[in-house]
Amino acid sequence: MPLPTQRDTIAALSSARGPAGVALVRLSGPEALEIGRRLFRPQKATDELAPRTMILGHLLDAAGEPLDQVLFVYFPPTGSYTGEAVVEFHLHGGPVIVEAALDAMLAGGARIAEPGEFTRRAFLSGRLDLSQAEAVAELIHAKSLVAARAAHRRLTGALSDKVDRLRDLLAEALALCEADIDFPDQDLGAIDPAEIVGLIDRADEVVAALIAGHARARALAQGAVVALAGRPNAGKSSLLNRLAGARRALVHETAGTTRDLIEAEVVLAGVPVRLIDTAGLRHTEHEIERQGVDLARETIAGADLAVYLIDGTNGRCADDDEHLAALDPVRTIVVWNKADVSAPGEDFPGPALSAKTGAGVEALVARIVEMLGAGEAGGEALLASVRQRELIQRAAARLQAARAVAGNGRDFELAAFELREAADALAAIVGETTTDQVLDAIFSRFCVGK
Amino acid sequence: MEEHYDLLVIGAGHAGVEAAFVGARLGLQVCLVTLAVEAIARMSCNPAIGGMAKGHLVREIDAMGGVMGKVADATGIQFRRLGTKKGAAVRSRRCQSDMDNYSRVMRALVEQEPLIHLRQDRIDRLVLDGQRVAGGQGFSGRVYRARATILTAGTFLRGLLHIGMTHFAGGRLGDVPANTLSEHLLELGLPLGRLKTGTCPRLDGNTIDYAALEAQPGDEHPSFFSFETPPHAVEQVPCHITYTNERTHEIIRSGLDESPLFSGKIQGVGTRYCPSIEDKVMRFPEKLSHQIFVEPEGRHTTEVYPNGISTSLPFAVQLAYVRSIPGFERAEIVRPGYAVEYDYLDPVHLYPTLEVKALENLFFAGQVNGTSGYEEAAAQGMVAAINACHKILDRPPIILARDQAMIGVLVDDLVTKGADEPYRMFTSRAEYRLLLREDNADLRLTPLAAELGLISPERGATVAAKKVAIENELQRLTETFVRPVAGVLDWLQSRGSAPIVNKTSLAELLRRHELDYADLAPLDEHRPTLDAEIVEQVEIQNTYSGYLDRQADQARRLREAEAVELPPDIPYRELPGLSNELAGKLAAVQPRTLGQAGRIPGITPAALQVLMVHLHRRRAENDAK
Repeated sequence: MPLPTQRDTIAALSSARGPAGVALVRLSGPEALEIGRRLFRPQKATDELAPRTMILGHLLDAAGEPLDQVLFVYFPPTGSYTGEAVVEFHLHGGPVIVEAALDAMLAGGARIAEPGEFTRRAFLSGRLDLSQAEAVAELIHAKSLVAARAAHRRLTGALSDKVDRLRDLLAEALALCEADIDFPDQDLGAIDPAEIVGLIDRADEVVAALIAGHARARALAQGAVVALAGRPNAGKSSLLNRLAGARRALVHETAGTTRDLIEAEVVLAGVPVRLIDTAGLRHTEHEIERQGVDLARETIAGADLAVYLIDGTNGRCADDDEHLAALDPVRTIVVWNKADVSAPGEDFPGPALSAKTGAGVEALVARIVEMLGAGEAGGEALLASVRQRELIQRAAARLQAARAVAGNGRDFELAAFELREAADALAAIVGETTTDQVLDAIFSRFCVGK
Repeated sequence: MEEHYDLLVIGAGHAGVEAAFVGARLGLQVCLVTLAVEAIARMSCNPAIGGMAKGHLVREIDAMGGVMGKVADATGIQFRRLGTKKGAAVRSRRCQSDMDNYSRVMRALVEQEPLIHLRQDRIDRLVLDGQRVAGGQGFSGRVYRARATILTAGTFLRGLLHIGMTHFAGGRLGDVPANTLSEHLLELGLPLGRLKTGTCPRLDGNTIDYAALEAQPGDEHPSFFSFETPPHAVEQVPCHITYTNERTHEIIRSGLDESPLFSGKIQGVGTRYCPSIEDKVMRFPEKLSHQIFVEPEGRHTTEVYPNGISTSLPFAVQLAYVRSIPGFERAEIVRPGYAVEYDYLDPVHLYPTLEVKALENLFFAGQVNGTSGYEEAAAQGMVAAINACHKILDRPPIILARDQAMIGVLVDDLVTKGADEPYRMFTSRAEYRLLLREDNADLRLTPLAAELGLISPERGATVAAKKVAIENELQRLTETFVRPVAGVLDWLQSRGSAPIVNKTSLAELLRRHELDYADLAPLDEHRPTLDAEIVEQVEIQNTYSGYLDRQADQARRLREAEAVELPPDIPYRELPGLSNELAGKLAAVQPRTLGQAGRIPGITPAALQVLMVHLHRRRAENDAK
């Protein structure tokens, strides 16, 4: 069983999961300050990152783009919870932001903490006293563990099945490599590298499907953020009301009515979605409205998906082109609204609808769900947690490397090394080792022995 | 009649002799007791030393001052390097031995060692001093008192030989078993189990038609096991290869009703790693032919060992199936094949020092611990003796780590997972295989051996100097650059190697498959003159540097978990949060470190956390006192 090491810097969400006002994401370990510092831009450039002081600023993603306005606190090892350098980010509580923050930390060199690892480190470094340590022991008491594990098994049975299948494929590929290595003198017949590569490819397909299903799993588990965007008076608020089935947003003929963000939690074709109606995008001299437009742009950039509305009565104009150029086409649906008044031309590629009458809205819903990867086509929704996804992605990377070295038929020991790392990542999901599994595979397949 | 020694070694097989030499190296008086002095280090099975993974063990034994490699080199009649087309981590050495000569040379070494006192006797009982073992008592009436005792009984404890439905007592064909000692150990409460192994019918080489067989000669330049054996020419004897066929298998199937294995007569668990021919035929019915490796047993005997057809079928069936094999049509069997059942101690009852948990100052090593193979036995003999001697000398235990030696993997697997079938070493058992190569066994282990006093300080210094030379050269290659100028580009093209675009270190060029160290000489003006084995290390370490770094990083994690020690008196069954099953496993193994606890099959991360909580509570209580 792989043991977590103390020298890694670990990261995890430390507050409760799910949408909340504030979320606490914590880094602990020798590189906590370094990673945290790289991901943080103080509001005032002059701010020093003084220990034990809350500092306002922005959390940056791995590319240096701001993710959220946050509070940053650094605890030196002498007075932190874990007895190591600890950095905490207080974020806005959306699961999407939390996940993006964790992604940035992983990219920065941290790894996801194992369950209970902060506490483990705390008492390893002597930070917890006897009574606290006992409290930890209570937590992991067998009775509750059994219950926890039973629940876990119920919840992840499907994932375990998949992972088991993957491990069987890897054990099979490893058995071929290892038989070739450990029984060089037996009449096994030459091991065909293509057979090993074939097994790796099959494993890779399963892995790819799991990763593809992550978006759906996450959407199902946590909800996705969909921003409604467009020029003023394109009908964003009407569409929100139509989708939410209630008059939530103020709808008015005067352009620029929505200055702040209006949100609605809705369930679209079984997928929980947080709809955000943003301010109309336009150039304005009006200070408050301008702030609204800036906020809208930020929100759209941070959303899982943007639905950009074209005002059908005006048609697609130069401003729309400009706004759309700033959006990620992969995460944007361009919609023709007010189709009841003015239908789009043949060349308009997106869906057309009328928020007012509801015509075409169902098609849009289907499109949203599809784009979120949350539909049936998005793969099986098995990988819910960032930790699981990280492990599967690690396995995927090692499989690629294994394929590259196995193909030449010469470096089976290096292929085995990569396959074992992949298998270890999978074992971390279900918690077992593989050596005996590989030997079993060898001896069931080959007649070997001296 | 009493004799007094520091160390008593019971059994003079491959484990026993290594153990005795360790004692002598450490300056202790050693008594080596064997049932037959002419059978010292006898090869009971096939006449070969080494092979994949086993060759690694021999190199490690040699790097630590052991004798197996040197005697194998001195008595080898054929040497082969295996896996030469593969990477450095999965190459190994093997030799065919003149088995009688191996035994003779080993006996001579034993006799020449003044600190080893050789005695022929059968130890029937241990001498007990309370729960402490203080020596052994012989069938002859002699009492051998010692401060530590190592039992290397091989297959001799209640050994039972099977040929067809006939069986008789014996440790090996022609040798008496040690039944009294076995009963004595059971009386002392050791939970002995039962295993089975087997061997082939030995053939008269004069009756074999070699012209019909495919010959396999040794390597042109023999590779020796010992780091101290200088290169020299050896007159080599070839092995031969033939195959079983459907007729062979038919004969075997027709004889199964008289098979002690298939009739249920044999109770002991056999190994999947060394199956009998009847096992192979039954388990792999789709395989119509099995390879037989015909091994010569020595220069002065015509007897051969047809490796691959071990059996316990009746003699008549053995002869019939042997004669169905090409080249063996007129073969005569000199000695029949047989199976042997014997008592063993599941090594989960041993500490990683190989000391018996229940009986202080008694150590077990070799096949009696549920392993198979001469090399596995010898390695354990060394480990048991180092630790027995350290106990006598009041020095700390020496436990080789899993990232340090194949021997470390072997012992850790045995004492952590136990053995419910005979355990054989494979390179795939080592998770840090890329680090544990046979080429660097000296770099890994000789400094330690020097520190322990197992080898001369001079040998230690030589290896230390080699290490520095390798590091210096690796550094130099990293810092020596060539530029993409005409001369260099032309040269690369002439070698069929891609052109370089920027200035490039020699270390980087050396990583290219098509270039080796010697090739690069024209680009390397200031190259020092280095020994071939230093160049070999430079090439390997440079080529695999990325992988070696990653593996070293994995090993670092291992070391951290190994650094958390678990005291021997943890009341596992009383710890809140441990299931009965896991508590039972932990109590049985008594892991020495948190890392070892994690390797016990079935132990969960949550169970490890419970152990940590307990450790901290203890520490807090101790601080309070």
